[in-house]
Amino acid sequence: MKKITCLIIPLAVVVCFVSCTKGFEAKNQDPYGITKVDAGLLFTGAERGMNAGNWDGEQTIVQQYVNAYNAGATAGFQFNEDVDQYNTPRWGVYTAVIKPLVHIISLTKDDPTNKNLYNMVRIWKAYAFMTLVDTYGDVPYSEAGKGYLELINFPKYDKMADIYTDLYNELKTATAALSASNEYVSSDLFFGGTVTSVTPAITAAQIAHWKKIGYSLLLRLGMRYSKIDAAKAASIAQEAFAGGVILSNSDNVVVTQYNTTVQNGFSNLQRTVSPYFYYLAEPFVNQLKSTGDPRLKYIGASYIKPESPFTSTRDTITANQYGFPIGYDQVSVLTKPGYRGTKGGGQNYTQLNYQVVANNVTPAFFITNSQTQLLLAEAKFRGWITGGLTTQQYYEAGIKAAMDEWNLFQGTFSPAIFEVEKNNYLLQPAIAYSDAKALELINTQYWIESITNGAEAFANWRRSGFPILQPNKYNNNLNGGFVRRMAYPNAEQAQNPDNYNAAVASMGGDGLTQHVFWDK
Amino acid sequence: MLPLKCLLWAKFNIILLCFFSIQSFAGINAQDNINLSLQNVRLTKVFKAIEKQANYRFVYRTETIPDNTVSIEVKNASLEEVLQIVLDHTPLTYRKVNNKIVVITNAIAKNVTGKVTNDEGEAVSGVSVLEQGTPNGAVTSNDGNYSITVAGNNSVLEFRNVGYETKTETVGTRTVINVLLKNQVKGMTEIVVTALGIRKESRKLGYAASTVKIEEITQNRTTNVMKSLEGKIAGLEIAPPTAGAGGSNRIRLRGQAGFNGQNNAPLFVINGLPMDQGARSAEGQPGIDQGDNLQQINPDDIESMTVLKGATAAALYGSRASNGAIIITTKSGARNSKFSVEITSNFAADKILDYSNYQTEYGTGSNGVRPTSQATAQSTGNLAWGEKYDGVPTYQYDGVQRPYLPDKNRFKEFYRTGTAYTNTIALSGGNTSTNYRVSFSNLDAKGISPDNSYHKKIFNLGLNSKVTNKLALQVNINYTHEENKNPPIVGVQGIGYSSFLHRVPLTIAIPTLKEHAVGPDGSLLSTNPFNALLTNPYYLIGRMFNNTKRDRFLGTVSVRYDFFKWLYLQGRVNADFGNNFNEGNLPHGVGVPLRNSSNTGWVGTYNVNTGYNNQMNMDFLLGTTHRIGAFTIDGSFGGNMYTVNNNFTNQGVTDFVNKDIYSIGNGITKTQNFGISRSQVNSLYAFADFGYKNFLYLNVTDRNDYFSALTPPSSLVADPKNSFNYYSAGASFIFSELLPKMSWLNYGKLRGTYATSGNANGVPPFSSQLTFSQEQQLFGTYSIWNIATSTNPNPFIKPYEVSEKEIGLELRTLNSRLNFDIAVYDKRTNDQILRADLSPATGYTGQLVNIAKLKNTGLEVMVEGIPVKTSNFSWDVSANVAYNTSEVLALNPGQTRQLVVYFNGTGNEFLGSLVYDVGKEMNQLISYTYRRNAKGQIMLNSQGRLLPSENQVNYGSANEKVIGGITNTFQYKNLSLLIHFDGKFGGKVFSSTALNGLRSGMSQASLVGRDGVVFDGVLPDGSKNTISVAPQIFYADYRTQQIADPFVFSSDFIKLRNITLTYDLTRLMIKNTKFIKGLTLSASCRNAVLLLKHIPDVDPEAFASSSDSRLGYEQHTEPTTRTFGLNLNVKF
Repeated sequence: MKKITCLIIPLAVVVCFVSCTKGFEAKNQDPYGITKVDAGLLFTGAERGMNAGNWDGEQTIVQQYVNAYNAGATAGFQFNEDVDQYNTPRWGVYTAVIKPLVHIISLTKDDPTNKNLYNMVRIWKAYAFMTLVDTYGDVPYSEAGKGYLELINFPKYDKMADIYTDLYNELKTATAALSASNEYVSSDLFFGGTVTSVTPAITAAQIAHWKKIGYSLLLRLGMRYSKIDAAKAASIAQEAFAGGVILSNSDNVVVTQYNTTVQNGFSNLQRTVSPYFYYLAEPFVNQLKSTGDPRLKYIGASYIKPESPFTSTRDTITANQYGFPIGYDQVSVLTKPGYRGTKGGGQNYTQLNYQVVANNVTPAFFITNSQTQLLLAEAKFRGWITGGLTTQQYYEAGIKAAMDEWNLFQGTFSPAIFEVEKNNYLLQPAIAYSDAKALELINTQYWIESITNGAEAFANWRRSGFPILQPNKYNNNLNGGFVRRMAYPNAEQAQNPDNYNAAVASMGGDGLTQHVFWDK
Repeated sequence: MLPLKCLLWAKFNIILLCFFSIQSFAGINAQDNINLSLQNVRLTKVFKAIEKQANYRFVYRTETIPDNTVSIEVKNASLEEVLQIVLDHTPLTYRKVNNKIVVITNAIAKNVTGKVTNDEGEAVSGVSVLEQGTPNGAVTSNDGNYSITVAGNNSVLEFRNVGYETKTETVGTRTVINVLLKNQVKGMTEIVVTALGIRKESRKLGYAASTVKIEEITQNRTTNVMKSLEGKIAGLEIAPPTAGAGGSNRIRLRGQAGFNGQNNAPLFVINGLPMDQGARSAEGQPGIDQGDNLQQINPDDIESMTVLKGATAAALYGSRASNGAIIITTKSGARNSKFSVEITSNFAADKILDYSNYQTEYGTGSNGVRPTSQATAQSTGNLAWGEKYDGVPTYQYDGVQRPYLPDKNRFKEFYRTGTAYTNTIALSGGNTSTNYRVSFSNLDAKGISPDNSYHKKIFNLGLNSKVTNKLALQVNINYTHEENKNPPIVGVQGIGYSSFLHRVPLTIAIPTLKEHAVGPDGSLLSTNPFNALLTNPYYLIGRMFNNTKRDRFLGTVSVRYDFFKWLYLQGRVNADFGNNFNEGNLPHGVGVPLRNSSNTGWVGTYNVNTGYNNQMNMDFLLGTTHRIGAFTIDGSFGGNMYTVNNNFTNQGVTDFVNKDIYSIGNGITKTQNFGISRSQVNSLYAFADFGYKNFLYLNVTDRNDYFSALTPPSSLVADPKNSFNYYSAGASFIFSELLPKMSWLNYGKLRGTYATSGNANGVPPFSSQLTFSQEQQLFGTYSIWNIATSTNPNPFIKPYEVSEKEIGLELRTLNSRLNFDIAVYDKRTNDQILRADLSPATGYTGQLVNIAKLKNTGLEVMVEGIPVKTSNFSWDVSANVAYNTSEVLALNPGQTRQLVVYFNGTGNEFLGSLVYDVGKEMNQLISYTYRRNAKGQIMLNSQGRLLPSENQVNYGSANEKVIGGITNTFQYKNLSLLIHFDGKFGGKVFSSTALNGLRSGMSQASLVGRDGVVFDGVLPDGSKNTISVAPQIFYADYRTQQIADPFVFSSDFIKLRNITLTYDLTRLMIKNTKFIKGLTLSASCRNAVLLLKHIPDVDPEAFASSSDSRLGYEQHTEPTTRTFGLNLNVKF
């Protein structure tokens, strides 16, 4: 009998083998993996994760900044080269921002307790896509960020003009739908925060801020049409202005929470890899220097030892600042007439001010009072808005607002720029308002204000044509032209080939010289 | 009655319980069933007691029985067992005349003589005649005669000689024993250990199985045992990266069957315990190779090693063995052997092979100008675009002016001689029922990098016991402790020493770097603009550390019960437990200020990682053997349960409160992480071998695997396809059995097989879940949450399938002096699990999909010959060559290219990409080339500078197509000399060293155009280029434009890999002392001569990673070494 039992048992085991895969489902779940979160929690990271431009990207294209070192590793827009590493940072907005926002939308779309969150997310998503379109042209929009939710692994590229049309609708409806009678969004990094008890006043204040965000973005969007459709630009600008835009620095959309533990990586490369490779560009320094701009001391500095800006003495005297010439690298500049020579281990040119603008806790500005004022100045000048202040008033308010932004930077005076300095600056012949030069004056200020938001600087320069810059003639790659857009990341060709090819065909190429639809 | 209910816990416990119950009633089946309980009685009384219980009669002469008394206590014992006990320590022996009569006689020493002859009838001299289990031995004279005195009739003589099969003879009543030694004919009766530890005659196998000559891996010792198999087995590709003393190897059988990211190494099976290679290779950052699981094997413990190349061989190991399997059996002593001690002592010295040939005409500087100050020396310290060396004192990075001259011996000055001492002591012995072996091994190795060392200790126990006639027990235990200190950082632009030595011009001498590493404030004294990447090694040595400690326990208990001669049941439990500890730091002051920017602490990082791995394997096998007339049938049915439970804890800190204390407590910003991984595979399998007479065999197998990792949440997929069935069929036809006896054909076998196997190893557990994560640090008062998953979960993923067809021919000719083993195969991988890159616009960067198809086809040839054989001298040649080519048959629909890695995009490597292209061989190297016009002329821009092609071009596959080796063994009396050549051919490599050498002005190639490069090309207007460009600018464009032409090389090489001289002193020793049973001394040299190479400045084998993700990419590894070894083996 025992022998028979011994044969039966293995057979019993066999039966177990076949049927005992049932526990596999539980076994294949990570007990330490978090599979559900409150939708709101994903919002904070998506707000912070927005890309505000890159020194080696947009700031280089608009000739604010130069990476002079070219041993083959760092050629980029400075040398009119389409180098992937400088095209891709903004594409990262898809994973850092679009992905969580689309996820939140899927969770909150029909949730009556998350209405305000849902609409804030739509506004912030519109911001993200506006910069994506401005940077690349056609981009995946309607099918973007839906790899998991809708199994869309090959999102189609939507036409840039169509995206703008939809963004217009999104901004309008989402902004209108925000309501102080709906919920307070504590995870909102800009105007939220945990409070002990949510009062109607707190919610109302947050909603008021966000409505201004919505309308300010709408103003920005409308003004983008200025070259191609003045009537449309005028109508949207008026619509936004009537809705109520940001008119105070306390309404600025800015991330200020950076600290030594969680740093702003904006100038990380410049800080950690040989700071003496990087200089302010000549056109930018000349503009600030020639007008005695009090912001220059915070943006640029000349260090006794360019290789150690963190420990060596810095010189921020305006007269001693010299921008690195456009169109040269660290070798070819040696034979340029007027070359200023070397200093310490670097060049005798103005570097970034590593204690202020290139600090690792530098705030990240996304939408500012200054930008809105300057856009209104232009809209007023063009007669697109009615009521409000005069063009000059908007212009001067915009400049003062830009100067006040420096109060949020570490390493500045208090206040960062004194009222008397602002007033003196406004009296400078090259700065003082005149109708004759109104558009150049306004948009040059927009350029300076956007030193930490290259995406805006790049977009507004293309839109307005100001400031007037000379083409970079380092080589003849762009036939004397400017970079008008960034190329798609190289990997798109392999990762999403059909849709990529359709987009390239639609745009007439994937180079640096194609124009986005509003930049004719 | 046991309820037939599915109880998880019951699965294997039941089997084990079953075995123990078998043991308890085993006696019922025994014939004798003797029970004795006697205290201090004379032997005769014992005999009488036995006669009463069992049906025996004892015959003896009373006067031969000694007077001493014995005590015995046995139950259900057999006659043999009782007599074993009572006759021990007496001069008595016994024999059974028939089943009734037992004759007890006095074992008297007696003399035995005889003559040894061979197949040809010739006398064989120099044959070792050994009395088993004793140090007693003799040697045959020139006429083949011997004479030896043995203990008695039970003595067993063993006749051994090179080139002959060893023969044993029990002396019995004979006094003259003439012996015919058969010429050694490998394969004819060779026993091969196949899947599940089943020993099969190789003639029955329908697939290729190669056995490894163990002495070649013990004498040519390498710290990782697999490295010594390079070039030894056809179809087994071993590629050892230059990654320090404790590094891993790239091991592939018959090509790379899966895409990068899958485990493409064969499965290792150690005494039945399946183990992945687990290579922790250097893959980009941090560029440290942390070794692999094979470090846990001491070559001295290996009894046999069999390489099962094809999918059939592995079909029975299931999903983990779709890349073939390497079966290792460790020693466990021999039955009926006296206690013996074996000591092996090995010393190896590694001298670097410096193939660098950097230019020594121009020194540090930029734009043709030497440094004029300390600051310019620092800012141009990575460039050799200065002036001609003239010996004039010139500023160096430390502000001192020294003669402007090159240091031509940089590599030899920096690297030291590596050493490795290995000592193994093994104790073994056995009686009639039990045998054992215990060994302990210690290895102390110092790498060639000044701060690299590797230590390991291995304890190994092997025990075999026949508990009863029917019940056998086998236990193997292996415990390893490893310590790996500061493995070199290789293959990346990073703070590795070799990167610095290859990229900083020779102007700065090693003694200067050593003495002036530290700046006035105690941080790194800047030598070049990239101090955080090109870091003076002497600042790091003693400040930076990376230490790994690893404990690993491997244990196997196997029980087998033979119900009848034709039916057995085997149960086995394997445990594999590992504990890993790793700590490392980035010291203060490496290219950044000592204090952080907010001046709150000292800059640096420190990380501690611990992990615990637990793998259990439990299996059972029910086997049967039948013979029906001319037919034989061997059938088996079994099941396996494989579970993995791992967990890990990582802790890290950034910046420190106090200086020079690298600890978690002293850290300012802390991060912690904890996670687990667990999975289970259940399997059922059956196989059968059918034989007809002794020339036709058929093997069939079938297996079903059930994977937990392929079981998504039922909310996503209600009825998951989480199981996979695969099968194989093979045939073996020994046609020589049907032919008349021929002198030129001794053995001929034709084999063929078709096998399928599945593999799910590219699918990590939990990967069907979307998970969220919270950042460690609060952001202001906010907590930041992310969607942690970046690989879009695919709940429909299934295992990929490998199918393989193989035909082989084995021939033994000319009295087995010329033998061939030839195989051709076609191996296809379908439904390949591919991490298809997704556009980030999806929100995800990739997804696992079952899409791709690829094939590997190849030819393997092994030839063994004995060109010369006389009584004193023999020359054996063994050659192997394998040709393998692959083709990517399909990727995603519409996809023609899969990117493995864009090297330049990693930020730490420089050139081109590794891709899979449909229709091409695997592992294509692609990059841009020169832009050419219709006439083929190189087009330049208006400034005479390079332009890249519109599209990237394929430079070829990184895979070598032909790999082979030739081993010559010369034996003269007791002296043998082994000479081994090997080579690899047909692969391409990108050399980052060549690119960096050119753009930094260090390589010989950079000497061209020092006064201005006027490149041979045409300008945009079509005219011939006459524009001179500064070389520093011109050559930098190669990197910018990713033009790879000057940096693509053939990776072919031929090496005189090994020379080993062995002297067997055994016979000498036996004459002089009875104490020593064997003594062998050998000396070896590894990497003796590099006979062929194409790549400049480095060894073609100087690559960094053993993984599939860095294939065909060379960048700044440690130099390869020539190893001199001395090996002493003594048996007592």
